[in-house]
Amino acid sequence: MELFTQGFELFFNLPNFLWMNIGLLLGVVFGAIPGLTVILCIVLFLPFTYTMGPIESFMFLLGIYCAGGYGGSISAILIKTPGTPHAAATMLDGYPMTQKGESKKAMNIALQASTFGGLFSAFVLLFFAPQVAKFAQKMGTPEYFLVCLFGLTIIAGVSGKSLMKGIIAGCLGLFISAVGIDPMTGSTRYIFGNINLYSGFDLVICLIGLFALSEVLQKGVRGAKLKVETDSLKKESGKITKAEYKKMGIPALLSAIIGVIIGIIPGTGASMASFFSYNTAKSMSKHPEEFGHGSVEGIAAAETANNAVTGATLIPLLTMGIPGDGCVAILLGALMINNLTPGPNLFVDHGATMYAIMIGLVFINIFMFLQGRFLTGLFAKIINVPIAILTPIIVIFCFAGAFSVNNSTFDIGTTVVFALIAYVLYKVDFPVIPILLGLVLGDTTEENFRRSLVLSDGSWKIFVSSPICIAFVLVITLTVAFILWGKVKELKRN
Amino acid sequence: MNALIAFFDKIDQKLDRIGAKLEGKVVRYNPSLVGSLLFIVFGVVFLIIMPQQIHLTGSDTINAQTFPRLLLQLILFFSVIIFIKEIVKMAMHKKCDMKELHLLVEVRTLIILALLVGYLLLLKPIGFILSSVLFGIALICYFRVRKWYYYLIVATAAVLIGVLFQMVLHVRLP
Repeated sequence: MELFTQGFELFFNLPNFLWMNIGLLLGVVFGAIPGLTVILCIVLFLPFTYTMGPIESFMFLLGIYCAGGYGGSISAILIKTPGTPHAAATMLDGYPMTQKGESKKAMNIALQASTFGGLFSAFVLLFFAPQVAKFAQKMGTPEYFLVCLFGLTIIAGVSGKSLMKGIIAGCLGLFISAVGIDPMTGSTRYIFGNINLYSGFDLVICLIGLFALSEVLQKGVRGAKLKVETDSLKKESGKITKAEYKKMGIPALLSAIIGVIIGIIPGTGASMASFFSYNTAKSMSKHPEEFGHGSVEGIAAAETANNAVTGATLIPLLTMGIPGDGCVAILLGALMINNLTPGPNLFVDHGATMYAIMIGLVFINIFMFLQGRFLTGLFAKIINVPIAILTPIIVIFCFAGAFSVNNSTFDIGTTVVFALIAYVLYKVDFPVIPILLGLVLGDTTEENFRRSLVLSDGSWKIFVSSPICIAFVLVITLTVAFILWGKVKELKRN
Repeated sequence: MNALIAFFDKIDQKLDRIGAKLEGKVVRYNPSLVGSLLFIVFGVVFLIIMPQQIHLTGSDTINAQTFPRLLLQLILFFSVIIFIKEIVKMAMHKKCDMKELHLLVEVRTLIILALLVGYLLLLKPIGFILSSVLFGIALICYFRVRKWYYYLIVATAAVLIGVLFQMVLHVRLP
């Protein structure tokens, strides 16, 4: 309780509110514009957090992360183009509502459902994360390695069609993270005599190249223009009736629970949560025939679930350092930049800061609602910003951001190389997100792997030497099996 | 002004002609085969150069080479499996996932890459703000935009970003 009060005091500062709202605004914009992604937004603005304290920086990034989910629904509803992949389920009923002239109502439902899901998830995080952290304190080096390995199982979920390609890409990420001076022996690794590589590749530099500049390279492929008629929004009242609220109540609550459960499992993510909830709501509905033709329950279920994932993914992140998806993996990097190494000790050493972040998530969702309530028209107009204007601005941001890491133009060159790597991987159908996971988890994975083997004189039996180790091995096996089972089902369906 | 418009029209027509020539030229390839081959080469090369790139200081069995070696072996193992799988599929005349490389699109990507490299090379000699303005204008030209205010918006944004990083974030940009 004392930590909670301290956390509240730490959080209740004007800069935190300011950065949170800037983050929310940026998140909605990047989520709403098709072609721009939430990951791109977080990567672009990560350098801004260097000068901030840990709470401000996390409020800013969490603002982007949470609002991105809602932003994606705006374009899904208005122009049948989901700004984020998880808004695809929202599109199924959102766009038919727009066709019926009820776009404002659809956006209101999406906003309220997103806020509800986000708040539900934030409270779950607030009450459960400290308990999980207490359990995690009992872990040693081999357990930590298995936790990292558990984090890497998310590769199975983000590998696309081929798990083997995902593993290769993940190994590439881990390999890249090993470049530079070996922290245990001091030997240099694959630096090719270049002093700029002594400290290895900076995470931010790699991210800018892999996720931001590579998008720009792909602009040679894209060129579609989208147009939103914002005038019709002004004419609509967008009011949700009591009967509609009643209809949405149970599906929203159920979807929030589903979202939280799926959010805790690494490698699953918001897309799975929104479609799973959408299907559940449909099967439970008294009017399943309305789904796909503008059902309010459909929008509520999908939007509640995808925002309920946000707080839940932070539970494994903050307590054990396991990132649930690509965005959260970058948040993990942001924590490390602020010298907050995720894991059980985070709650011991920086308990008040952790509580401040968790309380902040509650307020982020409240402010997301307020911004959405008053700025809906503006958000709808943003979708019309031409890509020809956005692309050069993104590149300039990337170059400035990359330079700011070490004040070095070598780093900018490195981002261009990483962009090219991502482009080639895209051409040969290899996923890029596993590289990110490898990069983020690389150092901790290697350190704990080597320490464990040194402790056991090279025997691999150490990884099944304690009940926690065995439990983790089982959880890893089950998670991979669960994700693979989902993939097989998906392939069969297609 | 008219002369300038005529000049741009001429360039546009020339680009259209080049585009028309490249349009429809397609190279078909098996992405899994090419990708796995790339990773096999990567794995083999980096394993071969490992002794020169990672010098060992002691005689420990668990050393600085252990982790990278394990990763390269995993990369090689899975790449070889994918490669063999694709070869077997081709030999048995089974359906392989094929992709198309559109030359026009690749040329466009190369132009963007060249612009990025040009921007990078200009950073030190002429400074961040000026090179950013030039790059912004060049990229909008690449998109073949005729609206003058697009150029103005991007040039202004370039200056603002430079000022933001220098004044607010205290980054000493080149």
